Amino acid sequence: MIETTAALTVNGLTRRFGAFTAVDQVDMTVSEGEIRAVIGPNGAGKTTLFNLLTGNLRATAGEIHLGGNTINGKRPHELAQHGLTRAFQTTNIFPSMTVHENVVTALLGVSRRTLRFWALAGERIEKRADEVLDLVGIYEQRNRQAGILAHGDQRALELAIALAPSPKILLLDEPTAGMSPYETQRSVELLRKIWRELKLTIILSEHDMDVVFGLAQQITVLVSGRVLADGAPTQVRSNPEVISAYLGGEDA
Amino acid sequence: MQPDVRTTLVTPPRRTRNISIVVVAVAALIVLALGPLVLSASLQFLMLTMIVYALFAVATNFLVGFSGLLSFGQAVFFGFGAYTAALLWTHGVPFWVGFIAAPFMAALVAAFVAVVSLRTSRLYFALLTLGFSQLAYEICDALYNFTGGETGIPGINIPNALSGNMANFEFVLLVAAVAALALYWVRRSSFGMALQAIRENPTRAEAVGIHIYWHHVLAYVIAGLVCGLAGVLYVVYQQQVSPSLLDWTTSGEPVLMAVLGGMGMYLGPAVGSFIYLFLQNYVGQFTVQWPLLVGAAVLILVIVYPRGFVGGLADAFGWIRRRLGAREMVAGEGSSP
Ligand SMILES: Nc1ncnc2c1ncn2[C@@H]1O[C@H](COP(=O)(O)OP(=O)(O)O)[C@@H](O)[C@H]1O
Ligand SMILES: [Mg+2]
Repeated sequence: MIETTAALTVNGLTRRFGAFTAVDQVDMTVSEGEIRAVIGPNGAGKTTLFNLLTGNLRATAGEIHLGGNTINGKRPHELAQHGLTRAFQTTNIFPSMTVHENVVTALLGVSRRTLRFWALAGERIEKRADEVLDLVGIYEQRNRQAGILAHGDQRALELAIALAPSPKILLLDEPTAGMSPYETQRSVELLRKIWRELKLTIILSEHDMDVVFGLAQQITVLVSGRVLADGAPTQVRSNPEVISAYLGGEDA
Repeated sequence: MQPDVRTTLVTPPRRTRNISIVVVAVAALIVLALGPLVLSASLQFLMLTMIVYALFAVATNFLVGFSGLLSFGQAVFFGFGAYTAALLWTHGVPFWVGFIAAPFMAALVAAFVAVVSLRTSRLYFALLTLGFSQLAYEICDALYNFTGGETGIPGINIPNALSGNMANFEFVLLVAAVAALALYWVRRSSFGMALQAIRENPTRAEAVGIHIYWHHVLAYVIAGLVCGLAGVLYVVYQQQVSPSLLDWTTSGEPVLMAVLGGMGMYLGPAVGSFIYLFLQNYVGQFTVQWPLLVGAAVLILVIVYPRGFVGGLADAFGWIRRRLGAREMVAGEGSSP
């Protein structure tokens, strides 16, 4: 095996809702700078796993390490400040702010400037926000109210908000959900461009393996909360268990 | 294809809107400042009440409307500011010392209430603030020797320079205006953006690193400071205090004013204060049931027009502007913005 630094390690991570186990003994090691796809059908536990990673949910058992630190029990705002940000599956923006203000708020938040009740955002942050909007392709919309944007543009804004603080690890929960095949292809290209330019670690979830096949270096297949397979795309794709449990199921 | 960030930078339309708001606010301030020259003594007194309650309502709305924190206990800080100033001044503390110290004392109490109450859910928070309000009233009532109990403290002396009709009026107006401006600045600051973010989407706010609890505590302290200052101004023009200042109905009034004037606009609650006290003063002359009428008016407003009086005005202006814009376009203007 090649020696790489682990950006994120998950050991025996479990989350139960009552008697139901949504995430079951998940082990996962994400190397620095890789694109990891977590794939699985609806209800597999992808969002729950993400919620555990970002501190929106507490683990029933197991451990999460970010860099060298255990982050179990840390709150979402702390993890954001530690360089772990997230784009949600259902768009989570500030609807009555302008597009630009949305990104400025994200920049202010992670840099802990929001308790300054006298200071304005400042030129540097405003400019950085514009650069990110430009990167995701919605710069022209900067002065529009975020809530009235088209679905695709709101998804781009969701990405911009997560991306703006220059995270070490970016979590994207079904970034192409609700998109047409054309839009999906464009956002896959956008993600590849972002990854190449910013050199960050990306963990994304997806229910369609074909979408991430050319994008991810590592794929974790999740079924009923359990890891069914883990490895390089070609490896995962030819795994007989994956074929029967996941790919086969979808074709039927 | 991709726009250059520097060359395509457009002036936000917000700027132009802000300028017209500033013009209206300054004009209103000048008209108000003329009060002592044209109004009878009793009308001046009514107007001072309106101004002080306007500040009280604007500060309360900073929590209720802007931060989404339903506080029913703002009278605690209004009353605490007023009582602290009154007690300091009647015990020989110099005017300016009391004037500065009292709002900060109110802010300190606000910090305590916030740290305790904000740990609970939204509903319990609202109930707890109401509870603190009642507690403050009872304490004040019980400390008869100190606070004068139900009688309150009459005949408070203020410096001669501020006791003339004109000077008193202009001083209260100026301080209220400066405080309102300062609070507006806070609203526009990085902190203000975070408060708005939390109100609109707490999940997203947390996910970008905003610690909701401390932001709400700070918002509560700032609102407490300004409510305390409004209380001090109350003593400056009334020169007396009574425990009704601490009553829970006094906590409800700025919330009603905010709803009446429009919680979505910064100065909506100030306009609400003028409407509310006008109604109280004039409708109150004809019927003792006037709170019922105000209650009914607020209820109808909330159902029919939730954006309040100022929101309604803004919408009306927007409609007129659109009509004019449409006409211009017919005349050959071409593209719309
Ligand atoms: N808060 C919750 N309470 C109870 N069950 C939940 C909760 N959140 C998710 N689940 C259940 O956990 C399972 C996994 O859901 P989720 O993580 O959203 O899956 P995915 O994102 O892969 O579609 C589903 O069966 C869902 O119903
Ligand atoms: Mg999901």
